[in-house]
Amino acid sequence: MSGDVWLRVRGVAKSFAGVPALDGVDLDIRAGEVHGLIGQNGAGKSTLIKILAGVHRPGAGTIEIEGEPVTFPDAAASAAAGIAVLHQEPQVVGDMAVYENVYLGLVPPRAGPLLKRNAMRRTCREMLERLGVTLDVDERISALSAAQVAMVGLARCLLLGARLIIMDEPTASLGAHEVEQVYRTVERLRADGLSVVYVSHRLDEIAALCDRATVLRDGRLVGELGHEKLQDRRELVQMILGVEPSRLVRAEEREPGEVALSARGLCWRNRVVDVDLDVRRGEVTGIAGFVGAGRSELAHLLFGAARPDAGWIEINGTPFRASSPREGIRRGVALLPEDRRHQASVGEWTVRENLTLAALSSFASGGFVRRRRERERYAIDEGRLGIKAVGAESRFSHLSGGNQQKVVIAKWLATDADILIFDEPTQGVDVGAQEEIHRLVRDIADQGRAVLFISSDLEETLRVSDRLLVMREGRIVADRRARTSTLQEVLALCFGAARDPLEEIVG
Amino acid sequence: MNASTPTSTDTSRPDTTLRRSGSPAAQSAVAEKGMVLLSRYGTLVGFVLMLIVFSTLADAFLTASNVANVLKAAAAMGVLSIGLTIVLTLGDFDLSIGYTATGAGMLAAGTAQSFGMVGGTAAALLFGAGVGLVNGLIVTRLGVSAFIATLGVGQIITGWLLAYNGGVQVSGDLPPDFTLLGRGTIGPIPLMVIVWFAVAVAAYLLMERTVVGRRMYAVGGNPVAARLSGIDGKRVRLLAFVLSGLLAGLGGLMLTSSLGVGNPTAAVSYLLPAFAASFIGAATLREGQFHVGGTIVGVLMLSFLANGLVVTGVERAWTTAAQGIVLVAAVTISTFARKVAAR
Repeated sequence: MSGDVWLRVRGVAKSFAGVPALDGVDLDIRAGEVHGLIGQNGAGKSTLIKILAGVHRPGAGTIEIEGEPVTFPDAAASAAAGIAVLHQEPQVVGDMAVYENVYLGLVPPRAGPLLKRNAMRRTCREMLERLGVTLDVDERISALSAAQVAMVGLARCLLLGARLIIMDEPTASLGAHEVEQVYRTVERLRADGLSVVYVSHRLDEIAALCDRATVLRDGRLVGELGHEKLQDRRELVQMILGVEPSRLVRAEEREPGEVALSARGLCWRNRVVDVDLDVRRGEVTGIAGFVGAGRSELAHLLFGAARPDAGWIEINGTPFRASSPREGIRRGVALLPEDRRHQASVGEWTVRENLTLAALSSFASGGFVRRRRERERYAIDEGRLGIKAVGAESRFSHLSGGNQQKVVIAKWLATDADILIFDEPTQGVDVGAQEEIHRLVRDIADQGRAVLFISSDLEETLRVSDRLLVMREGRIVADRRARTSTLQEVLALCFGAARDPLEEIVG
Repeated sequence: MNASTPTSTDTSRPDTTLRRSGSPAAQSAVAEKGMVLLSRYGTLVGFVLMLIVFSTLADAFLTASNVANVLKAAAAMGVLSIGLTIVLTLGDFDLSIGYTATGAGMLAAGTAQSFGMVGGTAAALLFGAGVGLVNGLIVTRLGVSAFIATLGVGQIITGWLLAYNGGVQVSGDLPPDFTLLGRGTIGPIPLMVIVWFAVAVAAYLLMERTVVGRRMYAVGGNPVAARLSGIDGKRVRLLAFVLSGLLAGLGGLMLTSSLGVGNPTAAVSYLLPAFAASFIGAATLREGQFHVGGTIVGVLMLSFLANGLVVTGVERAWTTAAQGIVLVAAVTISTFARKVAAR
C-alpha cells in the first residue's frame, strides 16, 4: 500500500551545547505510509521532528524530498515542502471558530480587504470531509473535545497542502473512545496517499497502525522495523531499552518503616484515576511511567498543591485535606517539582535567598530575616550536598543544572520535611551530579524519612527505589519490589502492552 | 549579579547557549559585564552629571534653600512612589494612587474642620488603606486584572470627589495646626522631607530585610515557585495594595497640609511621575527590578531636572517634555537591563 520513498534523511546530527541529541540518524518515509517513531524520553525523537519541521537546523546530514536535496532554514520552508506537524499541545485559539482556526496564520480568501468567510467555511468543510470528520465549522474551539481539536489541527495540515504529517503523541491526552477517532483518521490519510510519522509511547498503537517504524535510542538509530516485526514486542522493547538487565546496580534492600503517607481512591480530572498509595518511612518508593501518565499531578495532590476530586489522603495516620502547598509544608511534606526553573526557584535571586524560601520563618527573628543564619545554613549545605557555587551570593540561574537541583534539595531539607516527593530530580542534570542526587535521595530515606521518587528514566528509578509503582494513564498499574523487577518488565508495564509480556521476555 | 560565575552547563537551555556561542566567549563576557555596569550605574552617573551641569549654569541651583524647596515639593509624590514601587515589585499595578491621595486630602481637610488635625490625619490614612484594601480584594479575590481594577476604583473616587463638598475645595475653619506637617521644619529641614525619608527607610527595611518583603519579592519574581514554596500569594498581594493605598493617603495628607486647603484635583497628576520614578528606579543599581532605593533616586532625578530647567531659565513647556524624555530613556534602559539580566 505504500509507494516510493518520499522523504529521505541521511546521517542527521544535532548537538546542544556540545551534548549530542542526534547522532547520524537515517529515516525513510514512503508515500502513503504510516511510519512509527519510537524511543524513550530523550532518545532524540523531538529533535528529529524539530529538524524536519524547520525549527532546528541539523549540524550534519542531508534531507531529500522525492530525490531532491532540501534545506529548511525555517518552519515556513518546511511547510512549503509539504511537511506539517500536529503538535501534542494544540496550536489553536479557543475563542475562535473552527474555520478561523484552520486559517490561523495563513492567507485566507479575500475580496479586497474583506475576508470571504463563506469561502473559508467551504474549504474548511472540504478538509474535514477528507478526514472523514463531521464538525460544525462555526463551533468555537473551546466547545470541542480534545480529539476534535486534533482534527481541526489536521484539517489545517491538509489546507497547508501537506504530503507528510508528523503526529506527536496524538493520543497522549485522549480517552479510549477518542483514540478510535484518531485511528480512523490516520487510516483515511493513508488511503488518501499521504504519509504520516506517528510518534507514540504506546506500543500497541504502533503495532496496530504503522506500516514500518524507526527506533531511536540515545540519539542514535537502532533500527527500522516492518509491520510484522512490530508485532514482536519482545524485540521492540529490547531495541528501545538497549540496556542489559544484568548491568543494573541495585540498592541494598532495607526493612521498610511505618506508613507515612497514604492515599485511597484519589482522583483528579481524568489525569489521576482511583489511586491507592502507601509511602513508608525508610524506603524510596519509585513511580515509573511516561510523561503524561499522571505522576506529577499525583505529586501535586499529595503535596496539597491541588485538591482531589475524590478520595482522601492521610499523613502519619491523620487526614490531610489541603488546599494549598502551605498546609502540605506544615504537615512535613516537600515537593521538588519537575520544572526547576519555573516551579522551584527565582532565577535572578542568589543561592542563599533560594535556599531559605520555603522555611523563611526559621531564618528570621522578629520578622527580620537574619542573613547570617542564612549564610551559615548555606555553608553547611554546601559541603553536605556538594554544591559547587562561587558562594552563597552566586546568582541561582548561573549555576549548572546539577547544582541548581542540589540547592532545591537543600531548600526542602531546611523545612525539616519528613516526606519528600522528588519529581524528575535528574532532568537536565549531568551524569556526575545524577549519581550524587541518587546518593542524596538514598541518604534521606536512610534517615528514616519517606521518599517518593518520580522519574521517566526507568533504569534510574529501578536503581534508586526499594519499592516500585508503575503509573499509566492516571492509574497505578503495578506495585512491586524494585529488587525483583526487570527493566523489560517495567517498560512493558509503562507501555501497557496488551498481553503481559513478562513471560515472553523474561521466561 | 555575578558575571564571573562559570557559564551554565544546563542542557535544558540549548537555544540560548547556541545563540551565544557565535562570538568569542571572553569578548562577550566583557561586553556583558559592561552592559550590567551601564544598566546599574547609568542613571546615577546621569543624575550626578545633571547636577553638575545645572550648578555651573545657575548659581541658585545648588543652594541650601533651593535644595530644601525641591525636596519639599517632591516629598508627597515621593511617598506615593514608594507605595507604587511595592505594588510594582509584585508584578501588579496601582493606577488609583493619584485619586486616592486627592480623596484622602479632601477628606482630611473636611474632617479636620470638625475633628481637628488628629481626626483629619486618621481619616486620610484610613481612607487610603481602605481604598488599597478594596483594590487588593478586587484583584486577589475576584481575579480582575490590577490595571482595570485600580483604574475603575480611581474613577469611582473621582466621581465621589465631584460630589464631596460640591466639587469645590475645602477651605476655612481648618485648625491652625493642620498645616504643621506641610509647612513645619526641624532646623532647616522641612518636616515633609523628614516624613518622606522616614517612610523610605521603613519601606526599605520592610522590602529588603523582613520575611514579608522577601515573600513579596518571591511572588513578584516567580509566583509559581513562591506558591509551591508555601507562600500565600493572594495575601502578600493584598498587603501590597493596602500599603500602596496607605502611602497614597499619607501623600495626599502631606500635600493638603502644605497647600492649606483640600483641593479636588491636587494629586491627580502624581500618577505618571510616580510611575516614571519607579521605572527609573528599576534601572538603577539593580538589573531591571523595582526597589525602594531606586525609586528615591528616580524621584530626585525628575524633581531636580524640572527645577534645574526652571532655574536656568528654560521655558516652562520644556520642563514637562524633558521629564517625558527621561522617562522614555529610563524605561528603555530598564527594558534593556531586564533582557541582559534574564539571560
